[in-house]
Amino acid sequence: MTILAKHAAQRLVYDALHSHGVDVRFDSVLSPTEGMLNGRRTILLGTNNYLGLTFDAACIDKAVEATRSQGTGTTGSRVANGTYDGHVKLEDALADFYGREHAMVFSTGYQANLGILSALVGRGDHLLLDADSHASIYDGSRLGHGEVIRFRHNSPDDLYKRLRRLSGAPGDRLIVVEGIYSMLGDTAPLKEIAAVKRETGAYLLVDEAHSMGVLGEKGRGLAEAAGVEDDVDFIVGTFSKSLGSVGGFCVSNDPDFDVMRIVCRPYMFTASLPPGVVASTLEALRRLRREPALRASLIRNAHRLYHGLEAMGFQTGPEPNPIVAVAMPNQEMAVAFWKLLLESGLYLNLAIPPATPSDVCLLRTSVSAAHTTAQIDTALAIFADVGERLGFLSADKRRAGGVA
Amino acid sequence: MDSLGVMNFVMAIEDFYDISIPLDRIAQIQTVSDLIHAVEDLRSGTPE
Repeated sequence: MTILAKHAAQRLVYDALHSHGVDVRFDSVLSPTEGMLNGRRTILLGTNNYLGLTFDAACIDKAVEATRSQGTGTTGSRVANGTYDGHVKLEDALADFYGREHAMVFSTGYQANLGILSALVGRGDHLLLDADSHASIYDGSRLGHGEVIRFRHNSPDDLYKRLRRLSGAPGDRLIVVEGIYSMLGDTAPLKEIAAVKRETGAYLLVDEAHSMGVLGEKGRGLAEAAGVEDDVDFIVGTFSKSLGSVGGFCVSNDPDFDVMRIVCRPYMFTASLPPGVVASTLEALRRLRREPALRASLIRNAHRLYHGLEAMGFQTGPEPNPIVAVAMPNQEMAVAFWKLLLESGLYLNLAIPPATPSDVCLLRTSVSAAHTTAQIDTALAIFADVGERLGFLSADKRRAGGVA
Repeated sequence: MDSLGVMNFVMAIEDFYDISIPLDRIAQIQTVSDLIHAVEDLRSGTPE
């Protein structure tokens, strides 16, 4: 018995997964779309690298230049010695991109949600979360002292009902939804949610972690695509997906925004982003804005993969977005399928409860603008082959899918 | 009952009684009698 004995149940799960060999360690990563795994060249189809900018020559140059001139780290918090010119430039660039007055940069996306949610919702306030919210949103809700109420995933009606029940109660209300949900790749019905927000006088925060650089004409995310940016009071996002680095941010027009710099503990009590990360992120944001072709390739690849899998008879998520999830009937099949995909040179995410909604087991893929059409087709062919070997797909369906 | 079962159960109760049970209250509920007290409190509009 050790102090960790209380986690005995999780220990069993961990040991079981470990014995299946599902903990992945890349020998090396060769490009946004390829890596070496167990000595084998493998297609990466599960890295959230939506615009494929992790190996972009200009982003790398900027990071190297900044690291040489300013050092490897800031060794301090933003409110002490950790604010450099680059942090302010990055905040200005984000505010400009979103057409907002204010921006704040955090050291990770997780910390952005932790900091913003705990700062916005205090004792006596009400936080209304989509039931399928990311762990960082749930954790942020616990760091604050407001009352937390869940509404049914993507149900504006259920949200409305819960806000109506609160009518007359004192305190602010904050609704939190995500642009694209990370497991099934479905989007929030944001137009309808914005209407509920207007009618009930609540505030609205959208986490665009998986939709920045993916949705909207300008790549600003779901709020832009749904045409409701004016209704969204706070946008939270990350640098670790479309922008290929690490870090998080929040933008808003709230006139008191800057007070959060001395209220958000996950902003104050951690070291700021290293100069190299800030520099590559700034360059990646410039690329996102200047090159809509990146997003066009991403969407083309996403549709090719989604419709290809669907045609073979796999059960996919509700919408063709860069996250394409394939439902598995149970964990044994999910693990077996995932291992055969890996042995065939295709890496993606094995997602099992409690990380998944409705306790489903998923093979979760995420497509990149950097994937070639040939890589997507290879991935589809590997899926077809494994599906057939495991008796998951009938030969008829495979032919109907048109994948050789 | 697993966590999904608990959530669906709670949502059904919320619909039936037209209440929302905040997450921290759900965490405190251990027994059927705890649940009855929570529902009664929320229905009579008594905070916490």
